[in-house]
Amino acid sequence: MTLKLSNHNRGFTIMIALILGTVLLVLSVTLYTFVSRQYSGMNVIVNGEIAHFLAETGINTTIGTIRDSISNNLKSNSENYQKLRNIFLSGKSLKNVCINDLLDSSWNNDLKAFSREVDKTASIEVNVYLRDFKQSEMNPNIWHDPKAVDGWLVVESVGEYKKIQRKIVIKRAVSVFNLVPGVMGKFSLYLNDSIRKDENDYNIIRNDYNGMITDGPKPIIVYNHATPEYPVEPANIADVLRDERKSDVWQQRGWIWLKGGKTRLNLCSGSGDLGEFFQFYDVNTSNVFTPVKFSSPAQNLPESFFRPITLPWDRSSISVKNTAYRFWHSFVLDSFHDRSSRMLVEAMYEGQVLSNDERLYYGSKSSILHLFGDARKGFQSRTRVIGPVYSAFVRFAYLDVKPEDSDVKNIFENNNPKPIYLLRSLPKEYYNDSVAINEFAGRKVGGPILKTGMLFKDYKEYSALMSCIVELPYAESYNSMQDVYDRKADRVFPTLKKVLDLDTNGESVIERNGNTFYKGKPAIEDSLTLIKQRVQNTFSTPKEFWKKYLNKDGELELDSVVCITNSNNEEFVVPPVGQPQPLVVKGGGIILLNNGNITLRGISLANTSETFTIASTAESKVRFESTMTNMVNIIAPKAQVDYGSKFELFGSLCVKNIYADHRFQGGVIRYREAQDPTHSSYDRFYKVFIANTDSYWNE
Amino acid sequence: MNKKALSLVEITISMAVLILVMLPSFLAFSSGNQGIQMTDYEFRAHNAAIELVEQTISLPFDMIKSGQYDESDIVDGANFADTPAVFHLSFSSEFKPKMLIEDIIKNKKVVFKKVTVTINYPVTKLSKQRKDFSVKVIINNDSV
Repeated sequence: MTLKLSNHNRGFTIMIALILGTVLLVLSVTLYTFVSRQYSGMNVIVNGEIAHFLAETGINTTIGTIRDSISNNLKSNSENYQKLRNIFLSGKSLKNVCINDLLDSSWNNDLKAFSREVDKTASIEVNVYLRDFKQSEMNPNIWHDPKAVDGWLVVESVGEYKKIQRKIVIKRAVSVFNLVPGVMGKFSLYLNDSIRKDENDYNIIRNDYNGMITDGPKPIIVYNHATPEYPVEPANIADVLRDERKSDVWQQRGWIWLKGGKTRLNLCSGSGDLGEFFQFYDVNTSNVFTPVKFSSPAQNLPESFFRPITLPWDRSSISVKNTAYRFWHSFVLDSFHDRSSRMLVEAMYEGQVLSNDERLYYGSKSSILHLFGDARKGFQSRTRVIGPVYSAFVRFAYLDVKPEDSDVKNIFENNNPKPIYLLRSLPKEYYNDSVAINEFAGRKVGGPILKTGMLFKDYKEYSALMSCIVELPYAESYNSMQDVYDRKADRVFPTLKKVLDLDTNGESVIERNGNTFYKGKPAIEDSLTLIKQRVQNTFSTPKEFWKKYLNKDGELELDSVVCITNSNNEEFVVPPVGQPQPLVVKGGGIILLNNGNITLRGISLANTSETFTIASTAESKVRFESTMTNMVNIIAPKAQVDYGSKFELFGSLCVKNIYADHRFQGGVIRYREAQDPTHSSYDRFYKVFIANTDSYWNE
Repeated sequence: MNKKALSLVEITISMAVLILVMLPSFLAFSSGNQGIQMTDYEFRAHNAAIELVEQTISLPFDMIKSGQYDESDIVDGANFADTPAVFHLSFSSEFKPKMLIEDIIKNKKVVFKKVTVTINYPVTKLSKQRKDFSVKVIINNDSV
């Protein structure tokens, strides 16, 4: 077989060679291109890794400095601190704010030097931002604080190597809020369910006429404003007295709410520390009290009081005489006392001015709750009292007798002591028109021989003016005190000027500078909800908690909001046994306890810009085991204050109730005025919390 | 009839054309092959460096002992310095590691440590030429 090639087949070999060559060329170019791209791709990866390490170096070298710088700024009072704090507390939704200028940002110069060591194309830049800040407490039915925000502190490090960039971002959660426990910061005392058996439960104190208590339970005195005796933030007495005159002073003070059934508080007799005389006594001169003689308003008096009545005088054994008398009604108010120099029990019923029925119903013991401070000037602490709270006190009703005849008048007025005509308390069944109204000591003083029917049409008229134990809303005492400060002459009681009234609803608005912090009916649960939202760390047991936050000097360095689940129901003793008393709290904070009783043995704040709260969700007990001051707010809607040591609490006591029995040693609640959200001092308790843990992001 | 064979001229021209076309192809193949080998070694060197850096920076700060370490110290299964930490290295003996750990002191305290890892590696499999690849990182002392 032979190969035949025609003329037109000539050049075939060249063609084959060309085609083969072209194919090989294409393949080789493709391979070259692929390898080149792979190489450059690998370079990107490799250079990217180096850029990543540069970025990581940026983070490593600066994070400590940045943390310290922010922390130092927030602790100092430098200009940068003010700027930083203003940014944090601006309440604005910050999207992305660089704060390098407010920190010691020389780190970028140090990083520049390091990156030059690596390569001339290498660079590292670290910037700090506040990012994605949004308001966190926005519900005015729980708490509305426009300055409370949540966001992120972002440290962003960009490493660059041979034009390849890698970015590492570290985010730390930031929370800004006020450490005062929300709406309960407005209350000195809040009892969630104040009455367990009946309205008389708190009336267990045996005191004498001067308010001296020799044994048995002692009262809790509640100061709703700063007084000169405060352990911190004492008030100037002149300022207190000036404010006290304002009829709306209650708005600036800690409030009281005794929730639950009707509470009757028998006011304690005496003008000393424990007495509550001051509501009815004149206090024009410092610490000198004189009883106020109240006149009854004319509209409350029967017609017989407006014209002279001719009656036989009581000296008929000397000479029989009928003469004209005018009558008026007045009264003094007094308080409860069980003991006197003459009677060891139920001394207030001596002289039978008050009835036996009243003795049986009210008894003679006074209340353990003294809601308006004490009798001293500057320590009287009237405020808003919410709930069906009534005060009970004694009204000694006088019949003012004025003979018209001048001779009789001389005889009458020359008696020493002055003649006293009391309208005794009479039960309805003992009343008739011929009950004699005699001079109290039984003297014949030239006064009238008077029977009830001569002045009063019926029992209704008499009982409205007779001596008796009066029960009025606690608010009436507030209103009456306004008359004292207004130096009102011819005082009437209850006063005609109504500032506050019985308030069982508690509807409240708490606002300042145009911001409404709260609107609704304040409840301890509202504060508890708020505290739960704020929890930053959780511990299983009190032991774990103390291990974390107790320093070597036995001080609590909290500066945080923590929850202790305490499912073993261990008692939460503050300070723990074996640690110095009182417990010094640094940084303030809130502890939320889910289980277990709370025992307080003295708590002190390291400085006045701190506030400390212990909250509990448990049905537990709060017990005071020391007479030391406890600078703490107690927020425990299901807890009961148990008997223990006499206590002193500097803050707000918000619990279910107070267990009152013969063992109760009483104490003092000093409302911390600085925590009042309606005061500008509230702002000092805003805290910027930066989380302890980082979130790493590669971007 | 004469049988016409391929002429010498034709064959010569074809060979010349083929050589002209094949030469750059071979060059391209050769270069690509070398490139692949270089990329492979560079990548492995890079991995080796990263491996060593990661193992070092993951140690507690106090266990990162400052000093100069070379291939005799950095061995798979051996302890790092006098610490309980053990190296787990996957790279072969062609890759010669070196590590320099330096203290950065501020206010008389070691606040950072600078770790420089250098891998000395052959450019290609049979090449005697070697290159260095370095990674540097600074580690923060969290306890300060």
